[in-house]
Amino acid sequence: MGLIKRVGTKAVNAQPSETDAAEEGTRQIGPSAHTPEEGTRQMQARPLGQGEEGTRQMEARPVAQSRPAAPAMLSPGTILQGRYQVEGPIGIGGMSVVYRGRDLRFKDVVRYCAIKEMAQSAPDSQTRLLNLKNFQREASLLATLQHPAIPKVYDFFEEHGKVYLVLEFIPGKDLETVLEEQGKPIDEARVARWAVQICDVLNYLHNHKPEPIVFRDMKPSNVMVTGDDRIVLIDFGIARNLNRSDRKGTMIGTEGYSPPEQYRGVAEPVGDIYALGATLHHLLTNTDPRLETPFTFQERPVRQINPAVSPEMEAVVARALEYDMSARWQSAEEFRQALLTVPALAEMVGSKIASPAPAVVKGKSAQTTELVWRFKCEDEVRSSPFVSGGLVFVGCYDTNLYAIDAARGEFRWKYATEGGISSSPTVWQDTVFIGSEDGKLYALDMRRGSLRWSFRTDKPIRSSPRVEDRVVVVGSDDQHVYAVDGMRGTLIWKYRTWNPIRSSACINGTSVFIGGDDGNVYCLDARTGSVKWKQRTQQPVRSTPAYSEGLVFVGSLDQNLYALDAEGGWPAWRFRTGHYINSSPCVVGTRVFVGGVDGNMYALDTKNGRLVWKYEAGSQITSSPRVEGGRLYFGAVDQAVYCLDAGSGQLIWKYLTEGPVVSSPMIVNGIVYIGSMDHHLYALKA
Amino acid sequence: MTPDETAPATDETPTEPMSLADIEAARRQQAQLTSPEEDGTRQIGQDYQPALTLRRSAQGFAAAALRDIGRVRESNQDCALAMIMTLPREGSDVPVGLFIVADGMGGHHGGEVASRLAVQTVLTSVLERLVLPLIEDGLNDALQPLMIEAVQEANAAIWRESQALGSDMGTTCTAALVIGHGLYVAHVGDSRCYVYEPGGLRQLTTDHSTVGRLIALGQLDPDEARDHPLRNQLYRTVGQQPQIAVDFVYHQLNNCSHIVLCSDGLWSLVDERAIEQALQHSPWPQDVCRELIALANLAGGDDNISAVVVSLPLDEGQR
Repeated sequence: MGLIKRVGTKAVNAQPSETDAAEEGTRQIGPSAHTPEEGTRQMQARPLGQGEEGTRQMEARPVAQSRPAAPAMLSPGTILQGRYQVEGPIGIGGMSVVYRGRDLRFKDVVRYCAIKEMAQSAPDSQTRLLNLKNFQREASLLATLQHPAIPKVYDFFEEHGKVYLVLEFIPGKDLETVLEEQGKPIDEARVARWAVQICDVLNYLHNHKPEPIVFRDMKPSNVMVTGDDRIVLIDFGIARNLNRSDRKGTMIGTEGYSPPEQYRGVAEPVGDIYALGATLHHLLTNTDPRLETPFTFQERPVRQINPAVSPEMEAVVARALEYDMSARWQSAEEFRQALLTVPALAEMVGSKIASPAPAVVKGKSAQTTELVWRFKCEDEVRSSPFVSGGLVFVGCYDTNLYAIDAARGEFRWKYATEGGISSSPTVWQDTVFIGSEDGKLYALDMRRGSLRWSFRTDKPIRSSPRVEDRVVVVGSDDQHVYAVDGMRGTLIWKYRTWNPIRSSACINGTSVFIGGDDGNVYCLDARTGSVKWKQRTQQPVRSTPAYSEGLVFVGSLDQNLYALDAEGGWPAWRFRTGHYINSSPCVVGTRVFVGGVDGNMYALDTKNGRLVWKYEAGSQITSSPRVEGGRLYFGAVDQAVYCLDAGSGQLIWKYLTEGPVVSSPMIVNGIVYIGSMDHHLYALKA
Repeated sequence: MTPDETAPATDETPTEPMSLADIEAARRQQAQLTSPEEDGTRQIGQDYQPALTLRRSAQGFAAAALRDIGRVRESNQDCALAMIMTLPREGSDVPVGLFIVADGMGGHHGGEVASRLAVQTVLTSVLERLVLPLIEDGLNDALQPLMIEAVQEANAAIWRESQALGSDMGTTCTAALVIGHGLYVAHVGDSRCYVYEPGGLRQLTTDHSTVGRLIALGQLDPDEARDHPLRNQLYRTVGQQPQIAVDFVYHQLNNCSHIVLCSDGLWSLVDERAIEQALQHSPWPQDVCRELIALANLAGGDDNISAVVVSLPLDEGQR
């Protein structure tokens, strides 16, 4: 069954003996304001309801766990009042047992009824009295109500010291059973039809005169559905007339479904709206709120769990589940009207409904942005642009490093290396550095493009140079990490690994973090090049590390994004994606963003690697994201440049180029600069 | 070099008792005079080691765990553990600590069994998956899954045991691992982990109680919660469901002076200011533990009380 019943008290023994012990004065050190009862810990998926009210919702069916003091049950065949023959139990709860019975006065036909017997198992007489009072109230309340979705009361009597309530027998199943039997979310249209009926009966209860009645325990197991899909509420055990003067009631209801204010003892009609919202959420997603962290509906929107549900339905349910009472549907009628507009029902109802439509967040059609300029190179632009001093620098497979006017997109100069350029330039003071497939690292005058020096390695340079304190750090396919004097191009130190280095360095203080194709992430001493630590991953690391608050974030071709402790390299956490991670992570505040070859852009919590959101671009992302002004920018192999809301992962715009975008964006003064394999460098309005 | 060749040739070694100032003076002189590798010994790095006289500790890495039955309960169902060690890593060795508080529940000694089983399982996992690999080869596991899975294993172990015994036992489990300056906490239930920073005590864990969640959502006033009938009701525990979700928190300990783990028997009776004061009263974790437990008992001691207090290395003047 869906309910896992957890009963456990942190009190060790039965309560009374403990009380005695305390009263005898054992272990009394000083005055104590706390009574032993207060120390009792309840460990339950739902409240015991043993408070002032003393009542508790009835279970729709037997609880799996055997109760030590199970009340003696009526055996089948027992006849009560010479009229009602007991056939067998159909439900056992904490306070009552429900049997199916037959009314023998109708001799020629079989007329069933539900016989609810109050269980008097409570140990003390005061609780028993309270239970009786509540049972009587339920009977009286039901007797005054007339609605097709509320069971009729036939009889109320006492026999052999027990109290019985005879009710209309509802042939059918409760919604919890229906959901369990189906084992998957229930069809939206069916849920919507039930919901409309439930709103109708809630509307009846809430408009009851002289005082509204609050049901207080709306949940799937308290809603019966008959063979013809008609809804009947059962168990009015805790429903009661609203007495607003008595606001400090005791919390009652069922955890998971009950609204937050009910924990403050507040039971208003909008509490039933919330609980109905919770019920609908459960039915539409097949996730039991009693097994989830309480009050997390907002974090688990319906469509995130079951995308088949319409956005309209999701919005209607979400509004019912607002924490703030005044933000919910204000009446069952308003809720009902909103339900009638969801697509599954609107088709049937037609256009005759003139009700305020709920605010629905639709999957917006992708907007695009404005092209500021684009600049044509002679080959693919895989390199990521670097903007400095009003110029954009970018490398190209046509062997050139280009300098382009950032505002107008006009050509300023280019410098031809002896190989294609796939690495990205960087600028330090007035020098721009770039690595080339020809194996050299070039330092060029930023204004004129004239060569200041070049530094030769033995294999192509695909790692991008990084500068800190005049030291340029770059990796090479010749398996070394080099630190070169930025002024003179002389070697400061080199560090040898066993595979090419294609990741770029992240320099933080005296530490250089860099990934290797040998699968290691290295932490080198920036002053000496000696290794401080290295940490193994299972596959090459081509992603460039990012440092933030003691952690180094880096992706690996082993599909994980790692958060390594900067001090010792041990992984604090890792997050597994569906494919390689080539993209370099970007950290802003407590979020780390990274793209995956699996087609997703991920936003994770830096502290624990928990997924905050992911955006499905549906196409490989090797471009590295950048965040500027709360927006996240990146390119994808589907030729598009994306702009998302960094907080929510919602698409803001998408701009199509004519080739895959593996270059990473740089955003300066409201312009996004990014290269495309269509041979162009783009400047887009951010 | 064989040991014989390194045998003392001069009468200045082995080192006789020296004053700190003398050691520092000698160290400086050596660093200046000796050119590297000339005499077969490594140079003393001048830049990398601050002067000895400037680097005295106000407190060191130390811990104490203390439990008390309280004044009302018949048995102690809490379990607590504190363990400190140093493990090798490429360059320099790294201090490691494991601290656990588990607050058991369930009749017929179930709570005691559950909390002990939780501590035992988490400890075993950490030894097998972290400590031994660190010594043997290197760490492959990430610490977050390691810690989370350790608590999940504890859950499975207790669940198996309780199914076999027909018990309903369960426990909270807050396990904190310290490696270097990183703190890794896996947590289920309403025991707590705090760090003490210059700004005061900071609670790292979230109580898995409905009342706690309502407070976090701003739907319930903490004052209302103190006497709430459901304040002890947990929505997540270890051992009472076949599977559980485990919270994980990573925290940089850079400017923290202490870590405190405790069961609700402590935090529900002793407010954070009193805990802060106790931490200031003594540099010794066991003194702080005793003070905290005394305070909880003075306030009623209506539940078992557990406290684990960890002091972190601090230089003089930092405290």
